[in-house]
Amino acid sequence: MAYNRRVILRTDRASRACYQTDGGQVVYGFPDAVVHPRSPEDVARVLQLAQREGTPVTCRGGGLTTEGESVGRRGILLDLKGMNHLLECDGHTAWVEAGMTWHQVAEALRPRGLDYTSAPLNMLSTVGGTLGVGGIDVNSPRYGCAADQAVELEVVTPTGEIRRVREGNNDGNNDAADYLERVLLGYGQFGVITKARIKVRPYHPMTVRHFLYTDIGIALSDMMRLVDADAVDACAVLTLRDDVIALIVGFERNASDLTDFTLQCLPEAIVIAKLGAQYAFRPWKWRDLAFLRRRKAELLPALHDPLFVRDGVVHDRTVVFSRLIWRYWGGPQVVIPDLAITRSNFETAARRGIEVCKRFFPYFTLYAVMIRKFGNRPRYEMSAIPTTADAHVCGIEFSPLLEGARYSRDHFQQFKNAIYDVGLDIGGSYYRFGGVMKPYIRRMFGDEMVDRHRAMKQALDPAFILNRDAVFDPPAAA
Amino acid sequence: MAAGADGNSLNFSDCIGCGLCILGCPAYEETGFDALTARGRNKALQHGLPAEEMVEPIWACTLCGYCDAICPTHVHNVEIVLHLRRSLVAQDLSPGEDVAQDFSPARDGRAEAPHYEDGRGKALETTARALVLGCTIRDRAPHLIPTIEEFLKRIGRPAGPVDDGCCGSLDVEAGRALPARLKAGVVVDPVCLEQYDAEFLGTLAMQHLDLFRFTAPFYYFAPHRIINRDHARTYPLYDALRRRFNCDMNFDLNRLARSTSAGSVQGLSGRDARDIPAAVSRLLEHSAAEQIITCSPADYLAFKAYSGRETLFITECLR
Repeated sequence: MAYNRRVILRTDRASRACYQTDGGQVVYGFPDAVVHPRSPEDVARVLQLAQREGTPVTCRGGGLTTEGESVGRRGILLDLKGMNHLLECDGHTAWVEAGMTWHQVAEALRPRGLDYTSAPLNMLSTVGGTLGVGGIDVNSPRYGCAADQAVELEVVTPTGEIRRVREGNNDGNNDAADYLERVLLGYGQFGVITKARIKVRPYHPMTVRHFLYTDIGIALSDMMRLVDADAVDACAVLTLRDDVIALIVGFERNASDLTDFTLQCLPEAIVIAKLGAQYAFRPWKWRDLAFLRRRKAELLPALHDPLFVRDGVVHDRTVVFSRLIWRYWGGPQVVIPDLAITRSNFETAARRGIEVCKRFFPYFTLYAVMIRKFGNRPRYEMSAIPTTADAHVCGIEFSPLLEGARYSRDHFQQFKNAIYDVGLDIGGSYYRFGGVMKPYIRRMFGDEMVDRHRAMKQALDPAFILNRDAVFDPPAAA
Repeated sequence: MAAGADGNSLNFSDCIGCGLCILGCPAYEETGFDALTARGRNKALQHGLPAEEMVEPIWACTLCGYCDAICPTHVHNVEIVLHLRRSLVAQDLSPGEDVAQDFSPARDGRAEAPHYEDGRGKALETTARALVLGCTIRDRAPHLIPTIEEFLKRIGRPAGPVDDGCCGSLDVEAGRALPARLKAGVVVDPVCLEQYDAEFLGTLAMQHLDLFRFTAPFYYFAPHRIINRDHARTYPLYDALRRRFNCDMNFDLNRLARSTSAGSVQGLSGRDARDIPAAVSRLLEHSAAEQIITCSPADYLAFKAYSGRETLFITECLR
């Protein structure tokens, strides 16, 4: 038990077993070995060796993918969480190792009075994994996704070259700028991010308010109006089935009652009365009512936990939200298909998705957000950011609330397919299109785009070792 | 492994793999190895691994209780580790001999203490108002004992020391005994808390702050086992201290307490199984306080040895 010794490769079953599944807990696999790199040089050596031997390498940070993208079924699993230090911070940006979880980033920034700009609500995700897929926060309407907060990266290419690339002019090196655009939102296909310079901002506690609706379309419409006017610092729509819909807004400095906006929300008493009328003469539905009451009882106290709330202001809201996520969405299996759509399709996607949810599960929740877009950056192509001229794109997650019930993998898969079919029908993209949802990639983006990106991958990763099978078909199967 | 010997469910199947437990896990902080965390152990158990294939993850745990406190599905991680340790000891797969070498003077008495034969602390049945002096304080900081008695007198607590042999906490950690769960009055060392339901010296101090003189700025190292084990009751006490004196403390953003690992088998073994200097350095990384105050003897020694800053035991702050 000499823990101080630098251990790089472990093959014992206990070390491998803990990586047998990911956050979804639907896909299982067992890597042949686990490597814990401590430096980009360690990563480079592994990739060089793997490239030579044709050994698959699966990267893993927080391991919170839901479709098995970070589950290594064979070959080497590269656990990057050991590279987890904040290296420097100038007050505007922080140069961090990519194995840091966002919780670790927040812990390191708080003593400096700083906070990260935008990151996933689940703070167990690592910086590197997040920059590869997007990362949506409740403040994404203003700041965009987490991948848009990175201004410089250190990346190990699939052939083991350590490169440092940044936004803008890389001393006239266009390849470097292009490579940065490939790696960000690149689903780990084009290199392993080992360090990132991310934007930071002053830390502010948050005042959280919520407004209730019984119609998803009206709630989404109000959220879009608030976002267009940049009237709030954070916002999202969260539902309990389609019975109760909450528009949650956050203010970091001056809390507002939003009196300038005629929000079409309903007083809680009206919402309860409507539900009462809906359920009163349907005793066979009273279980649903009990579900609503139970979930409300779980949800609201978490937002008013005296540990984190002082004088009505939430301190460390990221911790509050992160813990709430696991209490609210967590379970033995986590299935969260999503749609990334344009704002013109926002309501349609929500309504059709709700119909799908009702076909498969008695209880479910929707989480809807908006994400600022910064022009048409190359990184958005074939990513979770759909093509649009709008200033924002929209995302909806559809999560069954299992309430202790067990369903087969086939049932979950059919549900996910049905949600993704809605996306195919109305156009857009998905946040979780890798792993077992890979077949949808060609249907969504078309052969031309996928083949072009696959060719870029092939050029950078000749043996196709890095996160093989997560997004592209490997050569033998192509 | 369906249920523990004491009848409590070993509910590792309830682990949903969220990873919240790794945020403050000392073993993880030091090594970055998932396998050594509660999530790692639970996933391995879910995979069907027997204890003998998990020797390292089982002995890596410092029983700090962070994982139990933060787990959204209420997995009893500490209980699982203790159960697995007993299982390993039964198979002669413990680091017992190494630990014994470091505690050789006290260990003989500990091993022969009759009230641990049945693991239920028979000898303590009549000591409901006892002051229990932990192994670490007696063995490593004996000069503090009179001060503690003085402290107890001043706060009007009865003091009937039971220090004729180890309180048994190290036996519990090493898998040689079961937690006794007896009412024991005041416990000095948080290591002992696996053995007794008892008030803790540091918690008592928080209830009698006016007896102390604290000079800001200082860093108060709160007893992590106490806080993480009974968070709802104890955290407000320490938070009140923080608000009153604006001192730095070992709480993270989850309001849970981080540890040095010093008050554990790993920390005490002296085999460098835990990098205590590195843990001390991490804890103090963002604190400019030149004075450190602690109410745990093991942590007192850790900070005194490795922080390079003035370190006081809480009783030294008595007015």
